[in-house]
Amino acid sequence: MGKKVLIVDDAAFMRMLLKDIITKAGYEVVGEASNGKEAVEKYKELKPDIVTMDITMPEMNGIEAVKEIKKIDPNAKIIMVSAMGQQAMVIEAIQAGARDFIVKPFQPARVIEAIKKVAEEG
Amino acid sequence: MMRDEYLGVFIDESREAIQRMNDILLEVEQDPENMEAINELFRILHTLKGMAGTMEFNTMMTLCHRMENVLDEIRNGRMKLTEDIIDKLFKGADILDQMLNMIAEEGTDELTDVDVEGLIGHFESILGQSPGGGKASGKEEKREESVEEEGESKEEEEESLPIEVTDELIHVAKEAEKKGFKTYYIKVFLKEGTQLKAARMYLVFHKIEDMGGEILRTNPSVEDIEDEKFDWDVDLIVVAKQDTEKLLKALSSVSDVDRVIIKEVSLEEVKKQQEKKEEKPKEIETKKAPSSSPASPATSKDHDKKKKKITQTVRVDIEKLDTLMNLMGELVIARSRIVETLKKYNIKEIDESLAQLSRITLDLQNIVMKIRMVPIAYVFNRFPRMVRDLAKQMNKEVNFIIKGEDTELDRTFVEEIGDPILHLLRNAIDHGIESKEERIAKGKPPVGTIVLSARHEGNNVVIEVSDDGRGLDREKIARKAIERGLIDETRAATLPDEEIFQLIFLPGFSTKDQVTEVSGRGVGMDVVKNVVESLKGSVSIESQKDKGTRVTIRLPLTLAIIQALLVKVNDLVYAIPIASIDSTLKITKDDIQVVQDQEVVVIRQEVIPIIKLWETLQIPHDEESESMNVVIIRIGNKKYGVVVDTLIGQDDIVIKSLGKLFRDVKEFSGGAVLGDGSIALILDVTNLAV
Amino acid sequence: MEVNEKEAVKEFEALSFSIGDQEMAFDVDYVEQVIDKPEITPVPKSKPMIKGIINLRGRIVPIIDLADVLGSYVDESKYESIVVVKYNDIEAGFLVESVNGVLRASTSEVEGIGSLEKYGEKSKGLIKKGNRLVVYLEVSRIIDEIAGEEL
Repeated sequence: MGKKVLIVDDAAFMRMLLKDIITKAGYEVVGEASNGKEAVEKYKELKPDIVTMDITMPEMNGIEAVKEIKKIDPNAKIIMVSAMGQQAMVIEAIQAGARDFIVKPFQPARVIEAIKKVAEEG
Repeated sequence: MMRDEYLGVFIDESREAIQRMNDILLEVEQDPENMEAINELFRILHTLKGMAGTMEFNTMMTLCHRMENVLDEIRNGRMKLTEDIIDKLFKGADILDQMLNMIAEEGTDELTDVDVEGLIGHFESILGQSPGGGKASGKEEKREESVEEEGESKEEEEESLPIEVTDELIHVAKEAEKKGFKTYYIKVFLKEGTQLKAARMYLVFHKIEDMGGEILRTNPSVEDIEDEKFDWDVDLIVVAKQDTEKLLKALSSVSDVDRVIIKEVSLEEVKKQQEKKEEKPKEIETKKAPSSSPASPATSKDHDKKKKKITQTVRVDIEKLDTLMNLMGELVIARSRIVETLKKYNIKEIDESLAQLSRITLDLQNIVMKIRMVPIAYVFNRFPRMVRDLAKQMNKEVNFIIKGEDTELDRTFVEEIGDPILHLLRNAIDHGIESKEERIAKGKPPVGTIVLSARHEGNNVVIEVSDDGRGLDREKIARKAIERGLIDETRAATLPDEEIFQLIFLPGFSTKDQVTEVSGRGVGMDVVKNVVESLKGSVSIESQKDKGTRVTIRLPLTLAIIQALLVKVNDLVYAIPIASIDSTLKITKDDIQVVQDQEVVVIRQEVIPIIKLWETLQIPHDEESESMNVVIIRIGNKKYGVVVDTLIGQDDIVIKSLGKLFRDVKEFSGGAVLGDGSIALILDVTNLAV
Repeated sequence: MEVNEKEAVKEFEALSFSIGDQEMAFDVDYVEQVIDKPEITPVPKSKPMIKGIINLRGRIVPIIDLADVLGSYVDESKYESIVVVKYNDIEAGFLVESVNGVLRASTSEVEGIGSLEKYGEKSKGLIKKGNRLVVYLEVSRIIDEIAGEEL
């Protein structure tokens, strides 16, 4: 427990939602980023254990960000947060090294399940 | 379930998104080929859709989804962005806005008097015309059930595999087995209703490959899997070094995987069985799970090239800011008290610390002030769209320019100042800008220009609305003013233009003979003036025939802390905002004359009415002394004097509301806590005069 | 305790104080604090029952003469304390002569409004505690009345 999570989403609403869900489950949200570029910077700075990554974002999208983060840390654990209809992008993200994905609109339990699973992996 | 908690943020952020949508739609309208803008529109709708879905506002989600679909078709070049589509998108933005209002008020996105279904239907029919529009209907594509699968049953799985085993496959497996791999048949069942099942299945494949395993065959084919052409389960032939248990554990851990069947198999055996049955199952495309699958064209490059400033922001409840402001006020007061007390003792050592405390308090005060400031863009944002609609409605062509939208002003002004500005813009479009023909006849550019600008000037925010239209008509205004008895003929003839123009700010003044739909909506210039003055600001107008009109609004930087002159009547202190003070002077009893029952003083040939504060406030007061202090108040062009006992001096005061119980008292605009902890009532000088 | 009894009888707490020889009480839920009477700044032209405003830790709070609201008269110099209440975002202080403390009572000890007609809806009834008779006031009603008077 107490794993550090970085939340990446361009919508503050989504970040707030995720933060609450994640915090209530006993994880620590160490940072938030509103686009891919910021996510990469925050990743370097905060070294989170887990990242939740939105796909469609300004500046740099989630897939590019996964690629960049993976360059910095090949073991980075990233969970994509996707909307319906983004299958191809999710697949691309998985190829780039994302460990799991959740689909909006999501259930809190589903989010935590994904984080827990990814956290338990080596 | 989580709605209430997030509703505020949801509404705020959605509003911003819709505003942005309107802005971009305006851009796109000018340049329908602007792919960046279209991409951003797509992205905004996508985000909105997600948010609405999360909040379970399904109608809103559906509308966003359809709009998103249409934009997706456009950005992928499968459809052209027509004027009709732009109009419909505008309409969509309007409806989304109405939905938000509905959500804010009633908690539902169901609009009663708006045909949302109709618009959704319209988008669907637009999509229906697109070659790639089939999927846009939003219906899940139904997989065609194959006969072979129907024949499947548990028992059959045991005996023969639902995958055709070829010699090639056996060969590859054999090679792998030599290197210590084992061959497995794996069947993965996803939970029913799993979303993005292709991606989910892909995650399973990825897991296997991560463990060093290799997928030799899949049924259905990888391509079909990617197209979601499967129900909830997929069959695999896999080679891996791990034992059954390890594989089972790893694959079961993938989210949304319901169950996994794993069997170590000998492909040769399987083939024999299959041949024995002479069963040639379906034709399967043999393709290995790609290590790099082609990305769909829609996905790869949709980043927004637009460089936006990245500023980190935190949303703060305005109430908390008010509390902070209050505490700040207390701190300022406490500091003054300390300073007062220490003055008596004259302790050298403490001077420096005290000076530092003062400095810090001042800095803090400035920062708190700044926190309350927001860019005027919050107010201006909605105007481009409105100007567009109004101009269209009025059949005018207008080039609308906004300048200085970064100019910051106090948060409290944001709600108040929008309507007056809108009224000025309406006036500019309706009365100011001439028709195209008229402009051409005058030798002006056929398209009119309206500029809305904001800037800081000293301690003021200056907002200007200017147009290059026909200008104010002096004669017409004068005539109307005479008709209304506001002015007599001789005065009308002698007054300079500037003062004639000021007349339009008088209540009930309207020069347009014909009330148009646009500017005949009740609010006149007098209302503009009232609102601005209630914000402790002023408004003025300049105009030149056929050159144009410029209306200038001046507002103080903030409402929360103002400079005030403290005065005394009896034992009580009152505060008068410096912004409305013209001058102060001492008079004697003999200086007061009575003209038409009104006490006046004459200062430099100017007749100024005066009121005695104690009389206006109906408080008992002793006989007036020989000499009196008068504070001359200036509101617009009018002046009047307020007689008080003593002038105490100037001070920064923090304005506090007196609260609901004093709503009936018009003479005060609030109260301020002074350095000694006592309270000074702040005079509302607009409501004192006779 | 029996179930049906539980439904009928409720325990509650009220802050008791005295005005003009009469003991009265506010529901404690409304009461924010009790303070000594400070200097009150009069607000000219405000309603007669509002005696003015005070500075309460930087906030401006109106001060109300409860006796005036209830249609009686108490010499202002007799007031020594202020009970500060908050209802519906309105913070207000009520002048009282003395504060007696928190009274625990149950609804069975409250007698209906019939005997207190002169207070109308401003009172919820009379609390009978031994030989004490306490007027149980309805804060929300009183504030609504003052706030709404102009309408």
